[in-house]
Amino acid sequence: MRVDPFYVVNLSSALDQTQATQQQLSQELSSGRRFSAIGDDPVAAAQNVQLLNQIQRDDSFTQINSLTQGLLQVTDSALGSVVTQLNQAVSLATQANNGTLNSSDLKAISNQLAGVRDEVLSLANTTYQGQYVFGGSQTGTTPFTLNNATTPATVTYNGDANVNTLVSPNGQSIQLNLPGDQIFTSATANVLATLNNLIADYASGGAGSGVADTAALSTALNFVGQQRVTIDNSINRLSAASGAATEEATQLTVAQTNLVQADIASVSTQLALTQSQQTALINVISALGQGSLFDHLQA
Amino acid sequence: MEIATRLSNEIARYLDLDTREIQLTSANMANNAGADLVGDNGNAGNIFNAPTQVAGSAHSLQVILTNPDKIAAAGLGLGTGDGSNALAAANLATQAIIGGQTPSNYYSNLVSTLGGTVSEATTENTALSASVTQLQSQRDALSAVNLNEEAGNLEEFQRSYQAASQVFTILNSVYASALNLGVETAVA
Repeated sequence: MRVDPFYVVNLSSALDQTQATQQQLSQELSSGRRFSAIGDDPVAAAQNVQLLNQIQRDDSFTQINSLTQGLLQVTDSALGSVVTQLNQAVSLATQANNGTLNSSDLKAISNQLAGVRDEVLSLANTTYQGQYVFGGSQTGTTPFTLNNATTPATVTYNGDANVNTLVSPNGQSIQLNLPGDQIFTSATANVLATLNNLIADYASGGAGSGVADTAALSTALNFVGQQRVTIDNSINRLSAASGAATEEATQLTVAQTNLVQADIASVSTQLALTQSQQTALINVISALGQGSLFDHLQA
Repeated sequence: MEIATRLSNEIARYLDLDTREIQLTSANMANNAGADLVGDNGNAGNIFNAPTQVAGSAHSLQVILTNPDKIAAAGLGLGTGDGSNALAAANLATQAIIGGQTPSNYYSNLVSTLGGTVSEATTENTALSASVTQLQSQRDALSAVNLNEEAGNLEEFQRSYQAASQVFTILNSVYASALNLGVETAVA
């Protein structure tokens, strides 16, 4: 009878193979990942790169979202206060125009209007995180400066007409600011100049051109209200875009998990199978290692 | 020989990263096309070191920008609130600036190709190892001193010797039986 003289070598190499498989499966089971090196599944590794890239873009957008929401809220809140102040100014001017007030009352109203003007000017110079909100792109420069030397006083705009935008991951462009010259010193409804005119009108103790200027102030008030809508829209669009980015990131994370996740049930079954093979091989090796044909003959 | 050629081709392909890195200077160009926080307008400086030669440029790539205020986010001539140049730089991610592909696609393809090569090499390694084992077995079966074979032979001779001595033991007992005329004694 011919006996394979290399059976130990062959069995050892078979044992090596099952051990390597067992190691691979155990690693999958402990890490929960289907592959640990790009050579294990090149296509999935490449897809993973693309997914990670997109998830990171979405995450970045979600992170800056809270900061940007803050900016828009501050802008909206400032414009809301401006509307309140202008309502008060219209009320004061209407009171001054009804012809029943004496000279000192009108001067008092002029002083009150100056207080309103200073408040509006301060709101126009609102900052968020050290950056001026109404300066166009010139967020590092005080947008409005007042010159009291002239009568009526003049306000100078130091910013520009640039509209800053934020682009969402899906390419939506969201307006982040209203340039100051568009709201406070617009050619059609110049808020600050009208306030200065009214102050000058009543400062002398007379009504001056108070009626015409009050009408202009009402127009300016409506104009500011309209402009505020733009910022409100931006707040809504930003919330929607942020929600969409978060949703997309979640979906992509699920896709990524599905891509790299090991099928635990399948891996466990394969591992049990491999262990059975290994045990069988070890038994064969030990059975062949002990005794001889004569032992079997004697029995 | 075939494998050696293929490996040298693969290495050449990865070295090609150097030429790709040269094209990555788009990011530097972008940073020099805007205004930053410290008053630079079109001269904010490079983000990455500018490679002077192709060879080794990918390996020596590093960020040289130390002041984050020098990132030119605003467009040329615009104030610090503008982000148009930052948007232009972000848009590089979707432009075909590396070998006719977007950076993420290029990297993804590189990972895929490299992974494929690794996988191929692993498979070939397994196959060739099996082939080597088989050839070694064949050679050893013909010429070499195989310890297992020798051990097998040794076992065989030992068993033969045991068998032969068993014969002698039986013969001994037969002779003893004959000499003692069928009476079992202690005398052999």
